[in-house]
Amino acid sequence: MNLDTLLQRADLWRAGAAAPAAPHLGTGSPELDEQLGGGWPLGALTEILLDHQGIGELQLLLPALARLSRERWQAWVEPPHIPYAPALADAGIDLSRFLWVHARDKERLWAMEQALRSGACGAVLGWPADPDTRSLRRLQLAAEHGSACGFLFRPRRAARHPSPAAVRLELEPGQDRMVLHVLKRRGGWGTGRRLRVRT
Amino acid sequence: MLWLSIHLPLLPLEVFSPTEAPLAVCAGPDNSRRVHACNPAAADCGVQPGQSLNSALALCHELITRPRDAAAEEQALFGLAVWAQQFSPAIHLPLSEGLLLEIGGSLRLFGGAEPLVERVHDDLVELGYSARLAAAPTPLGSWLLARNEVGQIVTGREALHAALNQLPLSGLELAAEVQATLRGMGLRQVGDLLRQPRPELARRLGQGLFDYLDRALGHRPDPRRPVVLPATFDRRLPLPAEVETTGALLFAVRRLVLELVGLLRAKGAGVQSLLLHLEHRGRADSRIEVGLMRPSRDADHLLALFKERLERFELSAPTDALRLSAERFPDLETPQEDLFAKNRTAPPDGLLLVERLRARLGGEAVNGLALQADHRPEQAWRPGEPGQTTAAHLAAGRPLWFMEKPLALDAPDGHPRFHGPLHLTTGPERIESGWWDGLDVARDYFVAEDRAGERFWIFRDRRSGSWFMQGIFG
Repeated sequence: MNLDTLLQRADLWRAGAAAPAAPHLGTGSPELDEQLGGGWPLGALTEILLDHQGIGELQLLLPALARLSRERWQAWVEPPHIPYAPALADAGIDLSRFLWVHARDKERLWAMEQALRSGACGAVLGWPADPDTRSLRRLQLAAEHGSACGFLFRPRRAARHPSPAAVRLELEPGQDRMVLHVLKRRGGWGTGRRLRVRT
Repeated sequence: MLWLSIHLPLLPLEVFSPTEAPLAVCAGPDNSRRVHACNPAAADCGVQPGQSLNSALALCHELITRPRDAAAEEQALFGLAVWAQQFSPAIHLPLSEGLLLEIGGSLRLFGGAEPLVERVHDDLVELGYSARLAAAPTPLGSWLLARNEVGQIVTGREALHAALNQLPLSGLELAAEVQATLRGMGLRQVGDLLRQPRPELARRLGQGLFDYLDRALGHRPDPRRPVVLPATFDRRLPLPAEVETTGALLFAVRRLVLELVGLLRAKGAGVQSLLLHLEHRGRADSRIEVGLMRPSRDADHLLALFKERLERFELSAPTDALRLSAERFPDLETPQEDLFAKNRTAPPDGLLLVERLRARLGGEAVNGLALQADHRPEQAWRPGEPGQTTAAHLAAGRPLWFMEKPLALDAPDGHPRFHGPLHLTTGPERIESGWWDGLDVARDYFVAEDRAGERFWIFRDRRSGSWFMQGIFG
């Protein structure tokens, strides 16, 4: 038994890691799971803060999205480009439970809230323009209600403002890698470590 | 046989959709109108049935008054008859303010008379009616018990006789002069009357009185013809006052939807398209059509769809009545609800979410994704109907973000640029296809990276030599 498989065990708790009480969706990367205190938090918001597109930001979510698509739906609300079906299917996402939602302005938050709250969706991805704290809190409650993962893609400057999101990640491009920095996670502040993820 | 009577003493008031505002329904000749019935808000101001309209208005300035509307009462009873088919295949309309259901054949389905009657009662409250119910072996017997607020389930003949004996004579539907004669004789209860020598009284009061009592007691046959109900649903509901905001219409839509759901349960079917008319005085109706992805009879879901549509709907004029219609009742594809489970926990269904999102955002706004077997990247996918499965041979190395229209790139000296120089990391992948439909492509695809580390999917058109971006590796 190597260390990695040992660390996967749910009954093993390590000091310094967040308590694995709340349900999670594994990210597919043991390293990232550990950083996040288990994985992507179910029933909560995760903010992904980035200023560049095309650095593998969606790639990061694919293993989790593929796994959950076997049972639950996912909704992408007003993405900035067309989500490309061949690439999604190649990543193992079941397209028969995929929703691509167009919504303008305030309707975006409304649509995200509906999708999160419905319980039908395991994950809801959104690119809201400039959500205020109240709207974020509504989304957080909706995610709790539907036990869904809510992923919000926002610019890095959003990190200056507080957010009810359970997890906040900052993504930066790097040489051959994407650099990932956990600013906040459930049950504690980030580990302060920067994680390099190959894309 | 067991008959369930539903008496609706406040029907003249309750034909209008419920309102928080004080409302009174008046009757009588124009010069001496009186309050026939009023709602609790009006009663709180001191308005009472029997009052003259003028005194009622003096007590309550905001009182909304509507004349008693016999046509609306008839429509409401008819609507209830349609709704009640879920409880009984034979619905009868007695002469006034109520319904009669033969429920002997439905007892087993509902687990006995008591649960059935309770269920009918609860549903009537939800519909916004105050009802008095009674069940008895004869139709007239149950009707008299209901009318006199003897809320009982009487299953045997003897118990029925005992219950009827105790009814006050004033509670029978008799002509005023017959009532007066009986009072003059010092008779108070049905039992008192039945103990009198019959031939003599029959001579004075007519045989009709005893025929009536014999039908109630079950001594005489009382054949009834069930009401013939239409195969489609079309129901109009007048509003107590003109409504100018769509939010206030939801209350009324609720009653119509619940009645429809009663019919759907009876049919064992669902509904897939619904049409709501908003009637405006002196103007053409507004129409709101609701289409579902698959048949449903879930009242909460149907109401949620109407809510979204109504909230987005701009009323062109005040509305004074609603009409809901549905013509086709397809079978349900999946069992949606158990007849008895009020608080069911159905597994959340993505298609219900789709309907809800579409109700507000429009049908075009919510799509699924489908694959197509085509080598050309722009032909390898299309927006699809959510929930459908497609398959195609997949090519690896495709970007997650796609651009419908390729973006032309500058390429001085043949080196493509996008906000700076691009560095080609993988490729070329040659795609040549589509000679058969005139949209043929001849391209060499590359993965390109900029200085910031962003990766793009770009191609060189082999005929023109120009460079284009078609995707982003998100």
